[in-house]
Amino acid sequence: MIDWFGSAVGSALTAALLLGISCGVLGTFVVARRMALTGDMLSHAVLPGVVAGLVWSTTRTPLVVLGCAVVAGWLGSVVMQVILRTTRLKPDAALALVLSVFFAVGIAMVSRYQPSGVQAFLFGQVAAIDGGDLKLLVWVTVVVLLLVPWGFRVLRLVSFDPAFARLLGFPVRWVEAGFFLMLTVVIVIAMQAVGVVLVSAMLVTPAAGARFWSRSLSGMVWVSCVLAVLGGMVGVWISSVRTGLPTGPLMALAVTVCFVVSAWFGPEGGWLQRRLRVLRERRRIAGEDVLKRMWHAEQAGGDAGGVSVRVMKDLKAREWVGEGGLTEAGKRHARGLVRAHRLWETYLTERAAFKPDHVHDEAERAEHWIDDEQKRDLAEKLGFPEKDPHGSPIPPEEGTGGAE
Amino acid sequence: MNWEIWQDLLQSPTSLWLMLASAFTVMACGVPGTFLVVRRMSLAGDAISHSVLPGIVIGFLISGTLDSPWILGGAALSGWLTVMVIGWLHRSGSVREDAATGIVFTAMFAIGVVLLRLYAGKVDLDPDCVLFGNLETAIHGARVGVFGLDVPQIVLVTGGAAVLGWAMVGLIYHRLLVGSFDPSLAALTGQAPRRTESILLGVTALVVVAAFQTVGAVMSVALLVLPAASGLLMCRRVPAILGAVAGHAVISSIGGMVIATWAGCNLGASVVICGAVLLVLVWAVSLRKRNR
Repeated sequence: MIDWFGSAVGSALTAALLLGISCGVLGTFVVARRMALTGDMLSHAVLPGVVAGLVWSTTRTPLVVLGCAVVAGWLGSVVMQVILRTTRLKPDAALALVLSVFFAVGIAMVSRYQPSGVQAFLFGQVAAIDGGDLKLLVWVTVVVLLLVPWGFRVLRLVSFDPAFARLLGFPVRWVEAGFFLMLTVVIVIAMQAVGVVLVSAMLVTPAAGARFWSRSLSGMVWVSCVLAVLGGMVGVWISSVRTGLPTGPLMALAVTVCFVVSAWFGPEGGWLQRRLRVLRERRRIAGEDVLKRMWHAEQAGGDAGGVSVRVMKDLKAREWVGEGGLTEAGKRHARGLVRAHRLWETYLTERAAFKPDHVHDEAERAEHWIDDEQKRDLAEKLGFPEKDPHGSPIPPEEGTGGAE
Repeated sequence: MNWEIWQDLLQSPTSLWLMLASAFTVMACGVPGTFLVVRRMSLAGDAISHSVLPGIVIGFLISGTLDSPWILGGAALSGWLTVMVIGWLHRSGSVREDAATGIVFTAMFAIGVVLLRLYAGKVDLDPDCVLFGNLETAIHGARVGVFGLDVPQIVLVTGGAAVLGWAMVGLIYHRLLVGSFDPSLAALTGQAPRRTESILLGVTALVVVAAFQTVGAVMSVALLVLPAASGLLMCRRVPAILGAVAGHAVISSIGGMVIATWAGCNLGASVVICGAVLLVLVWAVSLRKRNR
């Protein structure tokens, strides 16, 4: 174990693991609260503090650097609040102002004092995360892991309904301050791994990707941890195999790949899932249209004409069509469709002042989406009509008798 | 304040060129920045300023020099692409606009840095320069003779960017204005507001490329927003704001030079800090006005 932490790759992988966990947990809240760019602002605004800390403590004591950084980050958010309260500037401009001006102050200090070790904060260098930082990172991760599940409900309530939380007597301001403190600490440590610009990638990207796997906040926390850890470790691994490539950008890119994969294949609104749903609905509609045509033909005693093999297969799979034509279930479904169609036509002419010759196309679309409850509702509102505007009979509700 | 600083500044041609280059840079960024701020799109400027990096590196790999149309084209393309991808992600649901911005610009920036390292031998672009620019060395770069004057190329590049920014205003001022405040009127009168927006974003990408060498990726955001913000606090009408932007550019470049010489720090950062001081002054005046 000693050797593992001693080796460069080992400690880098450990750092990526711990960072992934803390970034994943906090990032979920950051994204859910629409603070993604506030996180970006914080990561730039802490720079003057970091530089001041490095200048002040030449031995690079993590706590000194961290303390100064937290002060600078706090100052940044205060300035932003002041701008928003006292000027006409909008949040986007205020954010951009604080972000870039604080960063400029930091850069001016860097070029003036040239403190050692600042490169890691600017460009990210996982190797720069040494024993002291790693120890701090372990503590931070433990605190995040202990505090967040413990305060999960409180933090969730404060995040989404601060007024209600205040009403319940929660110390909203303190919870917010604690969240902000943890966020700043994690940002400062993450900065050393990936650099000042790419902290956002570690915070925001995994959490945004997690949205495609789960809809609950706790589920998102888990998934975003997994994505961040996976991305971070893959980044470290690639960078150690191809030495010379910077770790930070590789971690950011790996996390982005995780996001893209989630956005494609995630079961909650991923591209593939949405695409499949569209295709499924399209197939249902095509099937229902054919079913209706066959039912009309059967009623009139005529021929339904040709039906594509694929649609026919689909209809048989749904058991709407059997060997000898329409099944009982198929007939029932077709009657439901016709009932929806004619009820909707009636509604449009009677209540929405459509001309009777303009309602067919509308109803042709709507019939696939009106469910039984809505049909009942429509019928009731229209006084249980028996004929549609064109004089065709509206099939009665199933189970109430009536002509076959 | 001792007068020697001023004497030194005025006597050395290098510092005059430096001031000129930074004034041009601020002017170039300030113009599209004004419209970004009034359209509440400052953060699109932030995204663009970071994501032109891969375009610059690829343009460099194709052409081999830092001043070729390939770089401008590549940068404009990658900036525009970023904004399009952000919009697309945001419209397709599940990812909100702020998160989409954070995802896309960091990914583009990361691609740029990796490319930069992969082809470190071929690309003569200092990674430092990406973050905070390096006007002091750029000014000693190639020189071009113009009317018998030995002009540093960077001055010409930033000057060109400034001309581009103001030319955009001169050519499509009305469209920019109407599109900023009343997009539906712009659409009704056939002004194609989305095309206007694309032009604005493209010009932003181009001026950011010029600003890249002077102040780097992050501080060009400051140059986009600062002049416009101080103009917005002083005046209510867009032409007046644009005038304020020009004034801001001149003052902050001179002041930045003074700060940089006095404190011995990076010039780009000093220009931004001077601009921030100006903003604070304007803010204080506006507070007094309001309280009276």
